[in-house]
Amino acid sequence: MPEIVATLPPGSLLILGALIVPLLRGRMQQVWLLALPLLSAAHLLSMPSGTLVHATVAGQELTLIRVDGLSLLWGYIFHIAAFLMAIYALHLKDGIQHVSALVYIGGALGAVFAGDLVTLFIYWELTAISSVFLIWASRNERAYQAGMRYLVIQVGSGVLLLAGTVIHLKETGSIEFGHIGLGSTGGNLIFAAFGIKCAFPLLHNWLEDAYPEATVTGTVVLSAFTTKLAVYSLARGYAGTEELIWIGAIMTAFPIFFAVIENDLRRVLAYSLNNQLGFMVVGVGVGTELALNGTAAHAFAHILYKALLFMSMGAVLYRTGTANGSDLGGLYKSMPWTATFCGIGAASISAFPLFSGFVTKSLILTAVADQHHTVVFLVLLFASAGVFHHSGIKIPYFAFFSHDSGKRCKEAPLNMLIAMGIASALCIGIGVWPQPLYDILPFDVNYDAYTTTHVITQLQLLLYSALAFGFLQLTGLYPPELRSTNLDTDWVYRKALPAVTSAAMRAGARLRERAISSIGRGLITMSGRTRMLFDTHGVFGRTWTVGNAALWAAIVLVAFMVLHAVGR
Amino acid sequence: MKDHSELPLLDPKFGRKLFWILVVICVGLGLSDLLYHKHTHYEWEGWVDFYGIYGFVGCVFLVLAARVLRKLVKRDEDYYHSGGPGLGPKQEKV
Repeated sequence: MPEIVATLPPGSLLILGALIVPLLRGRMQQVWLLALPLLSAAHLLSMPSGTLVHATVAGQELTLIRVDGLSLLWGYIFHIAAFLMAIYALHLKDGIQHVSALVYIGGALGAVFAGDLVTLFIYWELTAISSVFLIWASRNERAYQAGMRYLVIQVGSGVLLLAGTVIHLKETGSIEFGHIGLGSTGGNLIFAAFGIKCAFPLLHNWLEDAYPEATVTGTVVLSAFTTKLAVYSLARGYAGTEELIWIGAIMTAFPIFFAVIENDLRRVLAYSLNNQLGFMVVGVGVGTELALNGTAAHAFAHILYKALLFMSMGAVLYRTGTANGSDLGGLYKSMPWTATFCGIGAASISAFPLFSGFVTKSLILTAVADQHHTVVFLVLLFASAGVFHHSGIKIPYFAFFSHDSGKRCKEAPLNMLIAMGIASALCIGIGVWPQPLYDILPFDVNYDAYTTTHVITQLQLLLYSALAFGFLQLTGLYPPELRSTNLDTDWVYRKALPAVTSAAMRAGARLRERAISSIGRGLITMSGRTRMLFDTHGVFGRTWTVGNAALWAAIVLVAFMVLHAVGR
Repeated sequence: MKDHSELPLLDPKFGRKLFWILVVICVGLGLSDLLYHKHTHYEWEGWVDFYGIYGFVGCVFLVLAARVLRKLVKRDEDYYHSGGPGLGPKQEKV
């Protein structure tokens, strides 16, 4: 490989390659789109580990490339995801989406390998700005507005990161992207920046708001990178931060209640994405080697099964024009392959034995129990049952079974099926042979997921959850899929704040009107008075006789003398 | 509802049969706890069928709580968009 390429940060080839995409057409473009992730992966694999490229900007030394166990794992999975997504979107003739996706993925890779906070910030903002086009590419008013909200929040997170970095530099004299921790102003600000991108509770709703508004392929791309970059950043900077255990536990539990009543199945997946992030955040919070391995492994497996699930719902949307549970049902005969792949994704996210989630999530749960976080352990167990309930059963059930919606459509396009097929194979592959994944984790692994206890107890948890679903369906207690909007925290900035500001504006306008009219009245009165006093008949305006004037002068003089005498 | 002859898996009779099969499997799975030595972190994890019962109760609670949540947060589909629901990402349909 030429010398110059070796000094390029990972992901650069995707960003540079994206610039050529608009120049290519048809078959050539497709070949280029498939080749780019492979070239970029080869570039990454050729890199030696360690901190590689330094640059000095404005007296600060930037570390553009740092290759170590943690960044490499993210580098691998981001490349696998990039390749799968290139296949999934191969039918697409929308240059904007291809370019946007490539720059976005390249930016996320650059961020993962950034060795300092300033470099991280630059890539952080690049991912925000490039990815919004995947939402806007839906080309409708709703997507435009959702994209704007997304952009404001994502860029805002970057601004916090920059502010935190500057303060952190003052506090510590370093911009190195290593362990930061809470407690200092800089550290807290950076934590907030990461927290927004990681969709912490109450900061989460940009995810559920924006992702389902993106295009069929755009949502799949978005699902993989932004939030996992945030998990990586937390693992890098805040491992062992106790607060994260509780933040993560809340994240696993509360989105699933919304997932149960949400009608848009891609939004259901967004809520369950939020829930899965919670497990990873707990792992970071626990911070032991086992826990961090769990976070890394779960992020790896999660990117694959979550992309697979979004791909299957994307295929349904592509073929039927809707992803609403209320409008779908009975598609298993029309789209048998998509239904099968969706089932594999569902089994993986639910952590069924022999599927990927089973061998990765349990690392985190074991680490939590090892550290005796009993309540958190119980919350995670509840969330594990819940995720099977809403992601594992609800998604495939309402799309492919439930009742006959009357929809008859073609199976998904071949390129989509191939992408889903490879993702499915990887989900099962990791589940059956976890060792290759364990081998590339940041720390040494001595863990066997397939013990009798683990297999049996996990099957109990899941099958009884399925039983609960069946029971609630048969008794009619299960809330039906309804066309509706469910309020979430986005209500604050989509309804409450606009209402408050417009009320304030109206009050301001009224106040101004009143002020203007009272000033106006004042001016009219004043001009009347002036005229009265100063015109030819007014006190000051009329001509006075000499005698009168002399008398007045004498009075003023006397008054002055009296005052003078008193004053002494 | 359409005729189910074309889509046999949607037949309610099939659904009920599946449910009862699941009941049998679950009972068997619960009792299987008696047949091996459980390696656990906590004592209560070792109780017979703890995981199954916890999962069942958890999911019923989840759904019942979600029903209450729906009462609180459910609004019209076009609550945020007076333009109606037809504005979603549908332009890609072939």
